[in-house]
Amino acid sequence: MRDVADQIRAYAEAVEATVPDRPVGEAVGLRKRSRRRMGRAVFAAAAAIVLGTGVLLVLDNDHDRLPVVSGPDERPSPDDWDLLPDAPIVGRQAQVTVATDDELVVWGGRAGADLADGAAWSFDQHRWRTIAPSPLSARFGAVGVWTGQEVVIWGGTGGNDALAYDGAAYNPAADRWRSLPAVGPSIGALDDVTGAAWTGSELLLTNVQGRMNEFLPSDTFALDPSSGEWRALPPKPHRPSKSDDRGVRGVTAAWTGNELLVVSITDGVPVTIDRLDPASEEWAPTVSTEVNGLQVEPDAVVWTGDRLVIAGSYEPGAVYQPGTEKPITLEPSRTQARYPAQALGGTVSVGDRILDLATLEWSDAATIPVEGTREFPGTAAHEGRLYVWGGSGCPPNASCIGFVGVGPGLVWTPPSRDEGVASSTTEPSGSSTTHTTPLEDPVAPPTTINPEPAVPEPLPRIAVGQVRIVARGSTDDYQWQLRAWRSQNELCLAVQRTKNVGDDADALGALAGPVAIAAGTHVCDAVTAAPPAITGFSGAEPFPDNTPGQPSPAGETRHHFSYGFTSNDARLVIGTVEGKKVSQALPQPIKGLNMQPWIIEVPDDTHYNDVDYEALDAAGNQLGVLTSDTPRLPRPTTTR
Amino acid sequence: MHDEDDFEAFVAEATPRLKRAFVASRGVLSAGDATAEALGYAWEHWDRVRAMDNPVGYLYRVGQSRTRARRVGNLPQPSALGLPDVEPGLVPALLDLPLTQRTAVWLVHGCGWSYREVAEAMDVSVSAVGTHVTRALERLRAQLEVDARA
Repeated sequence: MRDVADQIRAYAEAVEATVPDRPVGEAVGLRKRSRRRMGRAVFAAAAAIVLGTGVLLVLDNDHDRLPVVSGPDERPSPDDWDLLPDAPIVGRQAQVTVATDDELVVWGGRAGADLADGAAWSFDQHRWRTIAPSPLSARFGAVGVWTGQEVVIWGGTGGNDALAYDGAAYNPAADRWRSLPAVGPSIGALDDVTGAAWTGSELLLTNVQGRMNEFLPSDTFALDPSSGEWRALPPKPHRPSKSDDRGVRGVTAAWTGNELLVVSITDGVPVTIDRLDPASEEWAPTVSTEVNGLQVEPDAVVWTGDRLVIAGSYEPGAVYQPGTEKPITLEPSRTQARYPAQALGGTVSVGDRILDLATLEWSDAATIPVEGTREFPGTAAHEGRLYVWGGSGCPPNASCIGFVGVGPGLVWTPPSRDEGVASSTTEPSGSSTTHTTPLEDPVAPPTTINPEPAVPEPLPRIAVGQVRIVARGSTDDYQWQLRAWRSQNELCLAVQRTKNVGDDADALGALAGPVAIAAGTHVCDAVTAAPPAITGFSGAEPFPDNTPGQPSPAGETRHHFSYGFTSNDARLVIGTVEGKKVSQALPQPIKGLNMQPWIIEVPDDTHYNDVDYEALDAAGNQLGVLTSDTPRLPRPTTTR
Repeated sequence: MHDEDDFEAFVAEATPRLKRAFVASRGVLSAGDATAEALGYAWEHWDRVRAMDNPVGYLYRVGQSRTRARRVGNLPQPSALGLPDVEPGLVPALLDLPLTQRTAVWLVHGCGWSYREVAEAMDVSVSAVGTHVTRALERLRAQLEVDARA
């Protein structure tokens, strides 16, 4: 056996690699004395020194009191802002800001002069890199979309304020650009494109002014980036009248999965919504909102996955669900920040205010670490986080000479969907417990599904907001792994039999009868008369595969918020204990299962009480149904 | 060479040494914090630190004093690090040592610091370091039933 000293040496060498990197900047005093000594330029140069050791030395000038996203182990705190290190390119506004699967890509923009360079921030590596030079001329106000492989950029304004009629696609994996084919003779038709959407196979572009004359084929086009082929789609049915032309400020486009939504914003007249089916090439009748175009910015429009939100700042906005007749009026956000709206799971963020899509109520986000004005930054959402970069530091209504830059980028992590809004109460027993109100599915009295009296909750109080399932049956014969996650318009539930007997349909069937599903409540307590205590909820090991996997059938990002296990005591519980695995005391490890998730879709235009939960496999085959006799989530009190 | 270049080179060299050194007294999770604190101090006092003979030893003391000592309970098992030749009992045995002994034996044998460097870092005499190391090894060997001559 090796001597102890040798063992210590070997162990120390190995354990060193497990020590997480921490940002130096937040520890560094770096305060005024150092700034005076070294000067701002030096600090800018030292702001993001990535060392070979893996330590990201973050020495930030004006922001050293804030956490800086740094090493790979850094995870921003919920409902909190973190700083991005300074990018390797100059600050700017009106740049393209796009989240790819792995990076935040920023390109172009204007900072006194028009710009044609860009950079990418790695979500995982927490590092900036400059991106390859673009074939495009310097410009600002271009549109950009992520296709899954490329960031496609089109249009914009550059060079003596001339409109650009070309585009290019950037492949971040190869760090390579390619030019896109020109529109050809229809070039004038794509005058001032501000609406862009990716359908999965085509880039749809639509302009601000509409079809300006009869010689132009359309104002809306589709480009297949792989073949380079363009096709003209029918022009938008709605175009501003001549008297409105003075106030046309932009169109915003969104892809719903089968339709293109085009929101036209014109000063002084109601905001309108047009819908195009690119397959049939037919526009639906224009839908008019009650939102005054004067009161809303084009970048305050966002598609959430199932509905369109038009976030008015100080006047009402609107929520529109395709297929419904009329948009719903939305309370003003009363945002001071007015960041471009982004959908983050079940919420929409405009920077300092959050819209809960379940309740359609606005609330405050954590205070933005404001270092001054930040007007018109670029924003993007990735895995439920908001990324903010660039913008102008010129205050509203001020006359600024030249470009006034802003501080570094920001990352905002919303409140955990499991945690909701916390409040403390005291239990009858005297123990203080923190309860949280789920952000979705407002708390309602639990539903009793059988006449048996409620029993005291024997389980440790796991995080609220969970979906809980209690099943009765021959659970000695079954073990299931359950997964549940919430995408933007789905409540997703996955069940995997991990042991023995029966097929998967049986497993779900066993759930279908005596199962109750609740969010944020203990609705299931009454299901079993005397449930045995479940064992082993003491684990604190991060669940190994608690990472977003393949997208849900709707193509949306999963937001895993709960996991669960069975034991042989007739209870199935899924939940999250502060983001940790809820149990380690499993009869057998449940790891690496190649499970086929079953998706329970919750149509958004219905209330939970009104639908049967249909479990489908990935091919759309029905695996089971939770009937209307099954107790359901509390009915939302808000209009959907 | 500019200040920042100097400092960057220093950080590259000092970071792994500090991270490893802090493991024994701060645990894995807090060792990074202590390292960051120490390097932050170095940046603030770079003129002074750069002139030191043993800046890492000095910064070790800085990191120790600037971070809160917590119970060190997060050292991974050797098996988790792919070290089949290291006794599973080494970690609990190390954690069982008095802090001074643990620190001394860790810095000397785990980090390869000289007795003099450890003495500066611990603010004790060189002979005291020797005593701590000897006692620590004896105790570890007894606990692990390891023959020093093996």
